[in-house]
Amino acid sequence: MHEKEGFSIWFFVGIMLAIYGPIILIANIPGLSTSQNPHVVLERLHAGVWWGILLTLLGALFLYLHWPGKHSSTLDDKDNNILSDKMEGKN
Amino acid sequence: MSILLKGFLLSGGLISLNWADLLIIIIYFLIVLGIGYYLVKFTKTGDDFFLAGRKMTMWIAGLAFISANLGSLELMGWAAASYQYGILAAHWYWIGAIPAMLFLGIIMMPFYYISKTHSVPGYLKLRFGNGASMLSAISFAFMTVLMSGVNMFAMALVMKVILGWDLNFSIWVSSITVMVYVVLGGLLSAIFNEVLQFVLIWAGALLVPILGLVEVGGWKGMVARIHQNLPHGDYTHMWRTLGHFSDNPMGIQWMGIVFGLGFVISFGYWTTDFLVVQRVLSAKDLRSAKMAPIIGSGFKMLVPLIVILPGLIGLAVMPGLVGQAEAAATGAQSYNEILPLMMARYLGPGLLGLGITALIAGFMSGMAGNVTAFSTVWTYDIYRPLHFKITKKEATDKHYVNMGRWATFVGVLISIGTAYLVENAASIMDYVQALFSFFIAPLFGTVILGMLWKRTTAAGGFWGLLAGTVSSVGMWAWVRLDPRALAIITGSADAKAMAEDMYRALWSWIICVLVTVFVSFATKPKPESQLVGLVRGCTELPSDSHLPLTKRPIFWAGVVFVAFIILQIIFW
Repeated sequence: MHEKEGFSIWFFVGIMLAIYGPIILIANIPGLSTSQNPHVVLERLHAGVWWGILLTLLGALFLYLHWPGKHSSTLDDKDNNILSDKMEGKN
Repeated sequence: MSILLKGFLLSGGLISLNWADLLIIIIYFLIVLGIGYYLVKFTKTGDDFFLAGRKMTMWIAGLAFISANLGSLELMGWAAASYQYGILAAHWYWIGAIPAMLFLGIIMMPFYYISKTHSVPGYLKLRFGNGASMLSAISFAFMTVLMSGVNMFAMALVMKVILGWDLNFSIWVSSITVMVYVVLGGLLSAIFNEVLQFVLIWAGALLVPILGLVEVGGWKGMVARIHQNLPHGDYTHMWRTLGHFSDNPMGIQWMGIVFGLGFVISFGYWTTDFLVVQRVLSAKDLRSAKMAPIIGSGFKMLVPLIVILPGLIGLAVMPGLVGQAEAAATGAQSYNEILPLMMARYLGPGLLGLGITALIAGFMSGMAGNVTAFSTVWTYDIYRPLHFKITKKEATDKHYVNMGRWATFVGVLISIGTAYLVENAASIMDYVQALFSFFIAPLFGTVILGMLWKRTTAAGGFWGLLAGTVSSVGMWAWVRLDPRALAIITGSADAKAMAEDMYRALWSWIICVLVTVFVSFATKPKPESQLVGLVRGCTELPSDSHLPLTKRPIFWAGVVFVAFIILQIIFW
């Protein structure tokens, strides 16, 4: 779906990641000081903290690029630019 | 609300969730319902409801194409298969998918798209008339909605085993959610959620193989541990053990993989199963429709990273898991739950919820795929001809959209009924899954001959499809009545169940093709003027020669195919 007709699908992806990232980050911060989940293998790597930050950043990026009304540099626009090269002949 | 909380908080499963995990799951349900509510205003015409307005870009159509197949049972099933059979399971993602997806994009999509059909049975109607179309539409609609129920029950069972959730709670909450967002937004809503699910699956599952490889010391460390745990078998090579049925844990040899899986089953599923083809038909122009399966194939090649690799890492770090029957008898853990077990092993708070949400999302989007395909085929290929025959006039577009919404509602209810039927007679699940496979291989024979050979007649198409389907059912029943028949069908006494599926598909396809050719030669073909837009050789295909190389579908198909070959060599 294109912005002209409504929110881009990537905007919803951005919302989802921007909500999930901080939840995961907050849930894993207590584990930085003391072991909260000894049954989790490689807990010392604090994967939850890094993954939470990564998802938050990705969510923010998607929201920035696909905010409603924003037209330039959006993936949909880029797609449509590529895709609008009509083929010659029928169709 | 109390029922919701009770459903979520019932314990007794393998994994327990904390507040962050539950919050993530609840937010997911709110987001998908919100999307359905938001999209209702964009879903007014039949094209909007059944084909998402034919406005999707190649990326969205491509991701939806791949996601419709990436259900949770697919994820969990193939992770379990890789634990059971090793890396051979990756054949279902590579040779069992990539060539067929590229063939769909380059060779078949132009005819589906140019003919302006809304479904695969719709194409059969244009090419062969009502007989083959109705046979295909009824079998597809019936089996799709039953499969949806079977998958729903299987998923609810998984949630019960893993999380301790109540079966009724899982079935009703997820089904009603799917029903609401599909009734509101049709295929558009389903596609939005499929793309969301695709992102969610990667976000929720990618950490498992990353952390798993860290634990075992990389690929070499993993292979060494597997050899240590299982010294009498090769679980890490894809082709070198396929010389004979007895050389590999799957009990299959290369001919079954190449011709049965790589050709008939794969081409049958990826090029004629309307569940996946419908996503590509939503593309906004022919070039997007050609590119969508190619983009999908690129992502499909990567899926073993989050499905097959966790199963292999499981073989290295969690040896000793057993099959479902043995697990039920002894109380041991089953390898059928290897993916959630690996999630529980590596994922902490929040991450585990994300992984479980990915599985739920996979299930819901798989169900949405089934009901959208069902409602389209029911409305356009079954109801519409009957309505016309009875009333002698065409109904309005709005009438068909309303029928599509009702078909979605009824389809979900039938699915729920099937789920409860399966609960009371588990063997029905195997029968339904086998039934579905009966139609796929012969349908590919009918469609491909109809598309590429102008001499194929309506009678040839109908009788070929019927003969292929009946022979497939016959072979299946023969093996059930006399297990020795397996050796005759596969040509080896060492063949196992997986080989049976491959060879049954191969034979039923051959029978379909032979009958179609024979009957076609005996009957009168349509004049070429009536085959324009439907058959190669009678249709002037649009050229993309004016486009730069990097914008041509054939170029990207070549890139994907080269990558596919390289993967086969690496894991030979």
